Amino acid sequence: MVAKFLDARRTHAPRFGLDDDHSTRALMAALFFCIAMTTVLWPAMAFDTRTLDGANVWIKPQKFGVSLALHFFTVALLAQQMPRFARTGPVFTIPVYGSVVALMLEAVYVSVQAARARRSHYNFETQLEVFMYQLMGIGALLLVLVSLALAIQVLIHGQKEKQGLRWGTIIGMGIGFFATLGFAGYMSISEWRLVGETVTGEAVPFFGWSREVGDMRPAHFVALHMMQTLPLLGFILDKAKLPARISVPAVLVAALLQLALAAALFSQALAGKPFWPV
Amino acid sequence: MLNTLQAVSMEQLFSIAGQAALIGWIILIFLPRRFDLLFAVPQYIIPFGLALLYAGLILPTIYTGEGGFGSLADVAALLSNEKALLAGWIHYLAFDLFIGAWIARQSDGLGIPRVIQAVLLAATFMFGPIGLALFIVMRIGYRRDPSLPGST
Repeated sequence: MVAKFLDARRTHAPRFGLDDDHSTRALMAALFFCIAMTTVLWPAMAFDTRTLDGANVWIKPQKFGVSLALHFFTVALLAQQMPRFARTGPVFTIPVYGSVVALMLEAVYVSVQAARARRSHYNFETQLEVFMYQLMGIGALLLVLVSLALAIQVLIHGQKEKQGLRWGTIIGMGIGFFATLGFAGYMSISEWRLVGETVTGEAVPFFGWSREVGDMRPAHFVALHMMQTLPLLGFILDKAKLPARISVPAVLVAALLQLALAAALFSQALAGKPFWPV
Repeated sequence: MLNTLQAVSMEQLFSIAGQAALIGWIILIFLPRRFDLLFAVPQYIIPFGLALLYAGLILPTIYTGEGGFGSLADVAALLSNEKALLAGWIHYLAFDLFIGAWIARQSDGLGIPRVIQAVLLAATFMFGPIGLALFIVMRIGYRRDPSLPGST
């Protein structure tokens, strides 16, 4: 009813030529919001001299904006493999809106905490910040739950012509979801993302991963981005006109390799060793 | 009537103007858009009321006190007058709300979900130009589609 009314006023559709249904629209709006956020916070990063845990206070919302722009764009693109009824049905629509609500909550909180030069994650200092850290955990789950819903819907309703893309999506989004849940879940029950005491604070540019001690974020990064790499690999294999008997096992092998890499990085971090020592 | 207006304290006017603007923002962020009269409250009625209040404050003050617009120091001198300061504040309130209503209408045309609009509007409410800049960047992502119902 409300959706119908809003539609009556609509004069514009998202660019990129995807289908103009409410799920795709919400995902594309989330993508555009992430780009807008990154653009608008850039001058703040340029002017602000304050740092938090060795990095400019605004680097966290910036990384957040870039990675979620990638996430929402991937989900919107890959969702085009299913027919419109599957994309607009509740199994997909509810997680889509859940992820958009979570994005708003997290974007606002991460930015406000950056402006206050305070941590958003791993902040146990005040009651409100502890509560918000927990709420962000639920938010993070909602942000990636849409990936699982996508994997399920593509498995059931997805087109069968492009087998590489199809299985890249199902495996990337499906395994990527559970792997992310595992690594991020472990990080969320840890006291801090680093293992060991830092002295110089030497870190990878932009990413900020420690080059001195163990850092759990590289493993989380590798596991999380299975959601992009595997569908992309499948897409490329389809483009190369490889048959399903080659492309599907190739995607599966790539998934296992990437999972193994994430696990290796993780055990290295837990041992207190940096993956790229100074 | 005029004597009563002159007797109202600046603090009272500040609080009345702030509450009026807040009502406008609550309508924009939380209430439905389908009733044109309801939408006219934040789009026209409250900004118009604030504009009249602004006129009442700035016009008697602007050429009598110190300061001007030539340098930052001039602006600071101008705003050191309490009436001019309140007028400046009401200028923010009126224009931010009007722009907020414009963003809301435009966003409906683009089909931006209300939950994202809520953040754009809250950003405009708190930090005017930041909300506008967010919207302008988002706007680039959309193209006109003549087949949509709102285009006719």
